[in-house]
Amino acid sequence: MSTDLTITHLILNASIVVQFVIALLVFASVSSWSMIFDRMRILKKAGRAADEFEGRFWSGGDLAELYRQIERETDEESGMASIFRAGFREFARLRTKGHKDPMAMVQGAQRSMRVSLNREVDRLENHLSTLATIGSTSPYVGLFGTVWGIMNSFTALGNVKQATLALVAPGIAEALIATAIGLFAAIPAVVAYNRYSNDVERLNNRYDDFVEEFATILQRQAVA
Amino acid sequence: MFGVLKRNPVSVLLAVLLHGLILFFLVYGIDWAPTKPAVPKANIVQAHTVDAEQLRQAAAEEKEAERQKQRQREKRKQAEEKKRRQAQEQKRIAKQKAEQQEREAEVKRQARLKKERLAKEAKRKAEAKRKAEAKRKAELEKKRKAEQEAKRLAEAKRKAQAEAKRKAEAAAQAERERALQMQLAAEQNSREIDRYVAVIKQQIERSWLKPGQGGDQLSCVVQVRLIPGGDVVPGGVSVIRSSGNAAFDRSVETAVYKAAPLPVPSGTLFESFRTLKLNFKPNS
Repeated sequence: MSTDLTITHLILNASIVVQFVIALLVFASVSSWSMIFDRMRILKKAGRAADEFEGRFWSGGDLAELYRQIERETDEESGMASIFRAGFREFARLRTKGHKDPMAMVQGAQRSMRVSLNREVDRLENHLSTLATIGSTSPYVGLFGTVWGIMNSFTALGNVKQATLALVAPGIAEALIATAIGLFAAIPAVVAYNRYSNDVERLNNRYDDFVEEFATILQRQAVA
Repeated sequence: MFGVLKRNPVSVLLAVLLHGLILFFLVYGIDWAPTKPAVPKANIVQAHTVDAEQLRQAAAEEKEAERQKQRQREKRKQAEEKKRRQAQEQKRIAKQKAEQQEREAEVKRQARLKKERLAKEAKRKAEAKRKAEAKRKAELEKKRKAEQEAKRLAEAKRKAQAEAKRKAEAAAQAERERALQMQLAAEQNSREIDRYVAVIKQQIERSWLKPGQGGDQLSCVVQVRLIPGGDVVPGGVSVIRSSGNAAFDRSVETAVYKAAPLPVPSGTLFESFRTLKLNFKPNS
C-alpha cells in the first residue's frame, strides 16, 4: 500500500462507496452555499424594501395617491408594498360596490392582506428547509462513508498474518476524510439556517405589525 | 439547488468558486510541504592566452616612458622652486609694509582711546553729581512723607481711642439697662412662680388625706419631677426631708400622685417647675 498521504491521493485511492459519499457531500456543500448567497441577497433586499416602504407610508401622504404610485411603478412589487396593494385594492372594491358596513369592509381588506403576507413570507422562507436538512444530515452521511472505509480497511487487515500500523493507517485516514467533508458541509448550513430563520421571523413580525396598523387606518376611513 | 440556479445563477457561481478555492488551497497547501533541495551553483572562471615576447617589449617601452616622465618631473620641480623663492621675497616686503602701517594705526588708536577715556571720566563725574543731588532730594521727600505719615497715624490713633471709649461707654450703658431689665423680669418671674406654686400646693392639699392622729407639728419636704403639661413623672416623687412619721410621708406622696396633672405654666417659665420642692404641713 502506498504511504503517500496527500488528500488528492487519499481520495483517488478510496473505495467506490467512499468516493460516492464524498461526491454527494461536495454537491450538498456547493448547493448549501448557493442557497446561503441567494438568501443573503433576498433577505437584505426585503429588509431594505420594507424600510423604504415604511418611510413612504408614514410620510403622511394620501393613501390613494400612494396606491396609484405603487400600481404604476412596477408590476412585480414585493414585501410590504404588495401587502398594502392587496389590502387597499380590496377595500376600494368593497367601497365602490356600496357596502355600508365598515366592519365588513375592514375585515375583507384584512383577509386579503393576510393572504398576501403569507405569500411573501413563503417566498422568503423558500430553501431554508433544505439548508436545515443539509445541516442536520451531512454529518451522518460523512460518518457513513467513514464507517464503510474503516470496515474495508479492516477486512484487508484480516488477510495478512502480521498486522502493522502502516497497514491500517492509510485506510483509516482516507475514511476519515468523509467525516471531515460532512462537517465542512454541515457547519455553515446550520449557522446560516439559524441566522436566516431569525431574519425571516423578524420580517414576518414587521409585516404583521404593518397589517394591523393599516387595518386600523382603513377602519378609521371607513367609519368617517 | 436547481431552483436557485435558474433564478439566481450568480450565487451558484459564487459557491462553486468558493469550493474551488478551498480545494485548491487544500491540495496545493499540502503538496508544498516538502521543499525541494537547492542546487549548488559553480563559480565560472574566464581565461585567455598571453605571449612572452610581447610582454618583454611592452615592459621595455614602459621603462623608457617612465624615464622620460622622470626628467620632465625634475624640470618642473626646478621651475617651481624658483617661483617659490620669488614669492617668498615679495611676501617679506609686503609683511614689512604691513607692520609699518600697523604701528602707525596703533599710535592713532592709543590717542583716540585716551581721548575717549577722558570724555568718559568727565561724563561719569557729572552723572555722580546728578545722582547725589537726586538722592538728597529723595531723602528730603522721604523725611517729609514720614513726618506726615506719623502725624496721620497719631490722629487715627487718637480717633480710634475716642471711638473705643465711646463704644465702651455705650456697651456699659446697655449692659446696665439689660441687667435692670433682667432683674425686673426675674422679679416678675419669681412672683409668677410663687403664684403657681401656691396653686399647685392647694390642688395637692385638696386631694390630701391627712393621717388622723398626732402630727399637727409635723412637716415634710418632697421633691416632685414634672413634665410639660403638669404630669408627674412615675416614681418622680421623693421625700427630701422626712417628717419622722412614715405614714405621714406616704400620705403626702399619694396626694401628689393623685393631684396630677398639676397646673403648671407653659413656655420658658416651665423650666423652673421641672423639679419642684414642696413643703407640707397639716395645718397650713
